[in-house]
Amino acid sequence: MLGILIKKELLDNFYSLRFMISSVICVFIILMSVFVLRQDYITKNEAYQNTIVKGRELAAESENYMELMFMGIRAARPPSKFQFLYTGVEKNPDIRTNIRSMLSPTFQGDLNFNPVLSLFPVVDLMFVVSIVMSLLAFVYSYDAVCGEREKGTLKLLMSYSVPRDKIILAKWIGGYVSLLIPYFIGVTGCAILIVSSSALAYNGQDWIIFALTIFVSLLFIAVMYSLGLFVSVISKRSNTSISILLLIWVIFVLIIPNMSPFAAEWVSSEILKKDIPSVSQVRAEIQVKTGDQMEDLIITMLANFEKVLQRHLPGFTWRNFKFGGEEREEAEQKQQQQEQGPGRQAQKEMDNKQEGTSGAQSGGQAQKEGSGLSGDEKRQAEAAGVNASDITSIMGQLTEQDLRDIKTFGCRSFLDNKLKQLMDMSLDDAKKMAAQYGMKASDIDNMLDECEVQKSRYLARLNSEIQKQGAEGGDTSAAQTQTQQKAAPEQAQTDSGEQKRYSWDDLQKIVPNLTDQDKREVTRDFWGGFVETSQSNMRETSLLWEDRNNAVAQQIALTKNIARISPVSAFIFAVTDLADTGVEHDIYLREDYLGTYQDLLSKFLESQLGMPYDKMPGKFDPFGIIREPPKPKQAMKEFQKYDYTPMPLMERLQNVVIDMFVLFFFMVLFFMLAYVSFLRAQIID
Amino acid sequence: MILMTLLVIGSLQIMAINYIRRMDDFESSRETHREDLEKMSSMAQFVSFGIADDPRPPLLGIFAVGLDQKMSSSYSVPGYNIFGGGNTESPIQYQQHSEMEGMEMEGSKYSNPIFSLFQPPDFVYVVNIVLSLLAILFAYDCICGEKEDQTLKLMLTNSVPRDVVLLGKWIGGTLSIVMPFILAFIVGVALLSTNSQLQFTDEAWKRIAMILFTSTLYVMVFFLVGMAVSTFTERATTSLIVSLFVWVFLVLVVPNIAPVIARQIKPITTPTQVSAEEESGNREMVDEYKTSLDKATRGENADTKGVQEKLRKEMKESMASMVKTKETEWFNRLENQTRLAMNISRLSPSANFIYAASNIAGTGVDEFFNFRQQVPQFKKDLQKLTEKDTKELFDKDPAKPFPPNMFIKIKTQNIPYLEITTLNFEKSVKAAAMDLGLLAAWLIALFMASFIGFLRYDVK
Repeated sequence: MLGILIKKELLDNFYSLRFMISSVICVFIILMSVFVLRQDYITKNEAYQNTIVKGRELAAESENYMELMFMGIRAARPPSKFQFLYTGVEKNPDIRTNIRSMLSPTFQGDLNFNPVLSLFPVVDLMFVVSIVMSLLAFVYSYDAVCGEREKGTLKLLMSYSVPRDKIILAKWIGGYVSLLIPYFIGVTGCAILIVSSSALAYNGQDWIIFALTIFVSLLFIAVMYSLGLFVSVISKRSNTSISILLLIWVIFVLIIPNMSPFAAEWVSSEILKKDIPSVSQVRAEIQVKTGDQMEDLIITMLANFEKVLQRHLPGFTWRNFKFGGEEREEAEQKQQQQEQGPGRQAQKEMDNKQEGTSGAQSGGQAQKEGSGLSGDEKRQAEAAGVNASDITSIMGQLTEQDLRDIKTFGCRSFLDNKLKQLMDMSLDDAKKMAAQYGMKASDIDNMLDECEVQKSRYLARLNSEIQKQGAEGGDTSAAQTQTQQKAAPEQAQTDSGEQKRYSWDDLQKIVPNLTDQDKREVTRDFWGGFVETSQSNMRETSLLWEDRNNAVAQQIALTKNIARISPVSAFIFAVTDLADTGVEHDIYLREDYLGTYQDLLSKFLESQLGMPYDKMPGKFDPFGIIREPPKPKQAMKEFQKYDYTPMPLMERLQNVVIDMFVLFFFMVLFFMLAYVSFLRAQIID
Repeated sequence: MILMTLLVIGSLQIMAINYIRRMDDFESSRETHREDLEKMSSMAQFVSFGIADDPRPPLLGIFAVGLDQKMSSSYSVPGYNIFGGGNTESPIQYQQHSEMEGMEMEGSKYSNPIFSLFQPPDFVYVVNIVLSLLAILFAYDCICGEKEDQTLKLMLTNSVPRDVVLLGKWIGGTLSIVMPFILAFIVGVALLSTNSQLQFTDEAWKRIAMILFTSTLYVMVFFLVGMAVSTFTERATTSLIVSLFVWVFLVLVVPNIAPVIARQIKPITTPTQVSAEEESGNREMVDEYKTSLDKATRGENADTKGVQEKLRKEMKESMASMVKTKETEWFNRLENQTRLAMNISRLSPSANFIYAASNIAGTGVDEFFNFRQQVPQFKKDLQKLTEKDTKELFDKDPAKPFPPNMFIKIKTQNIPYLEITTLNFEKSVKAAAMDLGLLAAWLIALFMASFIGFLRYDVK
């Protein structure tokens, strides 16, 4: 009985126009797009392999290990074996990356691509199933019950002694099977395309995954077909049925998935108050945290260098050194002074002698200028004037802590903070306000200038302290003279005529003759500190990255859960995660692939250089950064070739369990709904 | 109808919220970068960290996200690419001249990878997919439906010419979908304009009006698709199925297959390959420089510095020209490929609509090329700015050791922002003109087709 009913349904469908058109279109789209995308994948894969090989070649060209450490190895995002069937996130991803031993590698974008690709979604097997097949499922089912009711054939059928449950089951099976025919033709074509290409080389696991993706697709088509059947049972006319179904289709296929990431971003930022910092913001944060350490290190190294040089060039100091830019700078300064008139210069001189005077002065200036106004404006201007004097008074009372803040945060943000504390106003606001009331914004610039002076003085003092410490064991008298010079830079400048000023030429004569002992002394503190700093940098960096990655992972989970309201998204997540082109794969690449590559490089460098790092100073010399090359050209051959291993099957299955469950749940739900409502349906109007 | 109104208004609201978020992001990110700059007191820090900035998110991305997802990112220039004279023998010196490299794009601001799994639901998307479908649903039974209902026969028994009937149907049907659409759009835009965080300039209003015009044209085209199919079919069901397939083909298949086909017809090497070629060229030139320097200075020690300077200048020049030739050639090929892809996809009114609307909104292909040309300018500006500060220092003796540079201060307040001059209104419209013309051509062609179909239509 059931067999006859199913046969009837199948024949009904086979002879209809929609079956012919849909089959032709489906098979045509699948074969054409998969064929084109397969070629595309093959070229992409070749390009990837090329990049990896070329990257290794270029790395082997490095002059020395230091260069290798800084330049890193060029690598690329490996394409997935399934991306021509299920493109997923591999549509137009950021592919370039540079593996360095000390920086967390990320994939970087570029602007060198065909932009048309990004304007449209890709048509692949997944697209055909999720969009075309889901539409077809509705087109096949919308009139399965109500169409027959309209024609009156259902009444006729029911007049025979056929149980209702068999009719609905037969309708489900018959329609579903005829829907699957074009799909299976297309998939067989895909399998042939895979086998026929020698460049693809699918192994056992790949075929299992291929079969699994087919299974998920069948589940999804069943969900959509059951939903269509349900709507067909409950609506009286087929026109109503197709309208409702199209509405559902638009919402499920086109709206819920696409809205989900925006909704998730909105929810996490507005409701959960969790903003994800951008990559560059994380990088900036890391720079802030570690930049100062590095600067201190360089200062230390310079101090050591200075000490060594003093043995060869008596009285050598960096302060006194001719860098080459001084003449120009002096000329510029003179020009500035001429432009700004003698008043400014006098003020500057006063600044140099006594801090805080300038504050009173500029505050007074502001008030004087304010007096030219009248009435309301005047009162406001006076208020502003008071503010201005407040501002300037800040500079008069700098504590040690303030100086440290200035050094770490820079003058602008220091003043900004101070102003905010004092009168809830930012520096720019203050500037604007000053301009509004006809005062000179340059007062505030003067403030900044003075702050800079303070900062450089502070730095000089720090320097001299470092010098002092460094010189304790050495020539104390030389160190003392230096300290004096450092403590009073103005004095040193005026005295510079008497002392000998060394230049590059002197340095070049000395540097090649330095002994190994000297070199080691120069780099001693620097290298140890450098290693320590980079290690702490790595730790901090990885912590910050971990934070960010966790935040992103949370948002992804939220997005997925929102999107899973629609079976289409569940299908897309399941199929792409299985095929290694999904969101989980993206995370896997960022974290595992890049991380493993970086570990490999670090380990290679360690083994080549005979870590720990403290042995390295002997190998390196600080001038021109390590000219003594242990050539990595031959050594690079020992660098283990890193082959990307795709995510193991079990892990992928774990990722898609929820989505498969969601699909299964939807299928059972919709089928039961259709079944029950057909049993209760009124056939005779 | 309700669905359409909700969708139009909802998508505009969602994208407006998204824009405000991007704007916040942009401002805080820019602030972080500037703070970072303030803290760098010396060149040593610049060299190791470089300078980063963000492009401003496009306001009309609210209507068409377009390529903004790929353009929005932080762009940073590493220090060694700013201080041109620095490490002369660096194996990546070519990056100073390169337009393809030398700047780092720190991933998209759309950090959630699910963004790349689905298209963004902006206004253009709603019109492109949902409204075109709706227009077909309005039109699929306008002739054959009446024939099935027998009302068509009745109407033609009166002395009404067929062309007048068709014209009436077309005008009536189009108006019944276009009017509510325009209303929904106006309500949505009015809601946007009440938001104080969004400020539309006059030019933006002109662009918005153009977007509305383009969308209306597009909706009309799809109404005519339905109507034309309807005049060639006998039954409403057949008409619906045929129009749906036409829709799938025009909206989904043609625009998507086109770029992939174009890639196959005009393949290009990957940018990574080009830069790898440039890097090995760079190394060869450095080697050459070294050997010739060796040769020139081995004999007499007369003018070592002069020779060195001359050789170095030569190397720099040849490197610049090598990079330029390689990249110009590559970019030309890329542009050819892009244009080919666009031309193939222009067979579909959906592609015409997307190109036109996104170009008008300032997120389209032409805007992308404009953007891509201007981004390297940021690097060049930085190079120019610091050239003065560092030139004397480095040019005097290129073999100078690294550390003392740190005493040179960089004037942070002079450092430029990454500001892109977007195409002006006329240029955007010009870029969209061809697609607008094609949409109009579709309109005429489809009307002619349905006219002929209806004249030959068997009413009985």
